[in-house]
Amino acid sequence: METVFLKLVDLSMTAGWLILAILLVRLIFRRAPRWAFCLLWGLVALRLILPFSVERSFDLFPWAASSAQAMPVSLQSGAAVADAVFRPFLSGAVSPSADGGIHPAWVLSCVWLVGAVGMVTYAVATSLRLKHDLMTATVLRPGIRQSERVDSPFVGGIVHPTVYLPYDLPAADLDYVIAHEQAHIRRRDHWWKPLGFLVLSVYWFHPLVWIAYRCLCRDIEAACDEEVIRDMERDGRRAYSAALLHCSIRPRGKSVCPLAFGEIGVKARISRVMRYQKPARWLLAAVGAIGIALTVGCFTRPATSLDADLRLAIEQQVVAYYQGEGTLIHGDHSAFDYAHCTSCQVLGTEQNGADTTVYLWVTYYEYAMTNGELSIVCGSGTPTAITLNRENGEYRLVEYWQPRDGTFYPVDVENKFPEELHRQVFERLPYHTDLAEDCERMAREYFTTRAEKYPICIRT
Amino acid sequence: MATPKVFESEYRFCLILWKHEPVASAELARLCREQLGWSRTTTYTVIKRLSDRGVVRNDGSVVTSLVSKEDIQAAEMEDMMQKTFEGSLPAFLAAFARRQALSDADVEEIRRIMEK
Repeated sequence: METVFLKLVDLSMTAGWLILAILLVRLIFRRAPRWAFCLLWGLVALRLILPFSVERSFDLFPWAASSAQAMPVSLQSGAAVADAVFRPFLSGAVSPSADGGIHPAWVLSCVWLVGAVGMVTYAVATSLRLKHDLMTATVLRPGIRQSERVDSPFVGGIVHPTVYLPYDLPAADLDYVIAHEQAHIRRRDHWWKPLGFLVLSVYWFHPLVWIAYRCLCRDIEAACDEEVIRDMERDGRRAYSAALLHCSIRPRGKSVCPLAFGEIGVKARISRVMRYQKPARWLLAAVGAIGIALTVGCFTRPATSLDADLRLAIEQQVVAYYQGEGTLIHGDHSAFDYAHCTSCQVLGTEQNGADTTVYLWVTYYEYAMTNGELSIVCGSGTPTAITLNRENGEYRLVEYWQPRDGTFYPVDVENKFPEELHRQVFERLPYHTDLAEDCERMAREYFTTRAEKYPICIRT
Repeated sequence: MATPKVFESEYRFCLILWKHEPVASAELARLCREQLGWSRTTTYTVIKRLSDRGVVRNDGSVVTSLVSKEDIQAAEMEDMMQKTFEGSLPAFLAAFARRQALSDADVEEIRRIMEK
């Protein structure tokens, strides 16, 4: 469960930046059509739902001064501030507690789960109660019902969306209200809003996601307003605004943000309706271009691939290390079947003139096979930085670096590794199981085949 | 005895009842489905609620009303006056007069009738 929670935190960091970017765009391009922003909020939801990124082979910011190939800070990893807030929890969570005490990450995960389940339960309970209350709603027209329990017109039902109206709507307002609610149905808002709430329930710990949801609600309303009044003259718009006003001053009941007509930011909506102009084409194009840029920025991550001979050189260095001074058990182990293997995750590379530094996480395990049972003798996981110098087409070792133990560990890593890799190093938990599984698999293979080659696996 | 409160949706149900009573509950359910769009369960629930409140009677699944349309309407008026004009008849008449453009003489006459 902690892995899931940490992955969510990770995703929410990237999404946080995306949300801020969209809020900025929303501020600058005030006159852009609101449906465009609904799409952008959809992008945020996608980022929060899909856990993967696509590798890209180009640089996001090719004009960046540094010679480093390492990814730019902004869109990909969390801010230094967020790091500072979360790192104490995460690094405490990740180092195995020797005395089997409670991990802080476990506690946080439980709190998160309770919050998420609570929110979903509340929403489900409220909508069930609403459904019960609306049982006696009477039909006005097909797909439109009225009830004394309705304060503000809204759309109810996910599978069979129905417009619900109060009984005493002024006749002049009726058509406008119905047009607005039907626009909601056409745009499938009765799916997007609950979906948005579901995403919010999962990410309830992130304040920006709350802000994004609130903006989504407002943008949905504004988009429907725009759709209705798009081709109206001034008189029509005035009548529409009157309808908005009448619905907003009705006595309020209790409801969980349904697609309500008069509730959300009435003054702002009336203002937009009266001042609406068909948006200029360049405006749409600009927002569209920004949208594409944001998508690319948030859904891709830089490739950490190594070219073939660099990869080979790294392999050789790691093998040499763990066959030599890196071996954890010294002395005679001929008494039992024994293997050691390594799995590495490449985190990034950096180029400094003729020197290449590869940053990795290296997992090393020693296994014994007794009576057909595989058991772990010991293991370790360490961040490692290998610097190689390329001369005459050959790689030569400059430095094989590992951090010191204890209190020196975080300081050493912080000083050696590029800033954008810090978070990955300190929350190595997500990688840990993959690499450990690699090692176990290789050990079993070794015991079966007794191959001469040292078992090593490098992931990029 | 005070007339029991009837909500707008229940009032529409009563309109159907007054038109067709005495009527079997199954037939009533059919009429409600046709005219109000109610499911059968809803109709039966409403019949139960209203009979608990003393508005209708359900004897061996034949439904009759205990309150007449005029009674309900009068109670509604009184309720509205109570809520909007705090039970003040003069205030209600004044507002009514403004809307209807009544002369002072008309207002006086109406007041006399109502306070009888």
